[in-house]
Amino acid sequence: MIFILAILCFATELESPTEDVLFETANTNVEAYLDTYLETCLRIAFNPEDC
Amino acid sequence: MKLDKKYLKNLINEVLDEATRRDFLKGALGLGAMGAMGAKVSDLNVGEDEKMAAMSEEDKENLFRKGSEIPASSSEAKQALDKLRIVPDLEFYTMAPAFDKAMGVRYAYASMPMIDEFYGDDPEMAMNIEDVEYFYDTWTSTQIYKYVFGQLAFWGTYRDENDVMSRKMAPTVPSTDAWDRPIEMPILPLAWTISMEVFLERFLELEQNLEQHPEMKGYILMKEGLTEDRYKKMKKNYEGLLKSTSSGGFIQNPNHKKEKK
Repeated sequence: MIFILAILCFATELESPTEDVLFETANTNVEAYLDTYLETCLRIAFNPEDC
Repeated sequence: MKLDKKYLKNLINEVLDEATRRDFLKGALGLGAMGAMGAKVSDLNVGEDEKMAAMSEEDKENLFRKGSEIPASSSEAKQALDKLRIVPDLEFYTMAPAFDKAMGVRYAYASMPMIDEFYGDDPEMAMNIEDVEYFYDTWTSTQIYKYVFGQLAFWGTYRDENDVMSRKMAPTVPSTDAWDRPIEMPILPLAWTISMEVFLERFLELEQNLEQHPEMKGYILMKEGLTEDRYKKMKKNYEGLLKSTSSGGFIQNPNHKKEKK
């Protein structure tokens, strides 16, 4: 358990800024979509039950 | 040689015994059949986490980076994606499960069922899809995630199906925004759809591996280029993507030419 925790703590410090930005951008893009998914889907779906 | 019932039965049992023995060895000794060459989680070898104890901090950092950073691809390899950098003329598209928050751009796309319906059993399309899947063969789910959702503008170009040298801005389909104002939604190419499917499959493999080897979670995540926090975010989004891609709103394409394929 201590070993795994040590790995996780270590891994947290490893991310390079550029890669961080790319990962966070991907997250933001998907989250932004999911946040508005239902609203947008309901607006353009022919059958609201599809959403 | 006489192939009687008893001989065949013995032969079958012999083959089964050998297969069982090999499976046992693979599990017990940690000798994965695929070797340690690929970076995919599915190639994970039992016992590899123990090697971690002997790894230097630099080695661990390199392992993490290898799983996280998008690998450089040759232009030859990228042709696999370029072949599907096309948008078929469909009567309907689907709202793409991605929104470029920085640019405020929503996208449309042709979902997998739409691609299947449009191309049917077209062998060339099947081969092109396989090529795209092969392009990501050694990529981790983190790398694909960044590539598919982190650079949406990168996917906003396409080539004409009949002109391999062409490269244009993605076609658009008219729609409306949240305030019913008219907008033009860029349509993501087929290569994006296939890439997202590869991500969904690859993340499922990761989940299965974590379930089968819970004691190796730290190592599996590190090899995949994930921290615990990143993994939680990605999993939450993965679940949302699964839900939304199984439904989603259709967008009618008023520019659809019915006489075309």
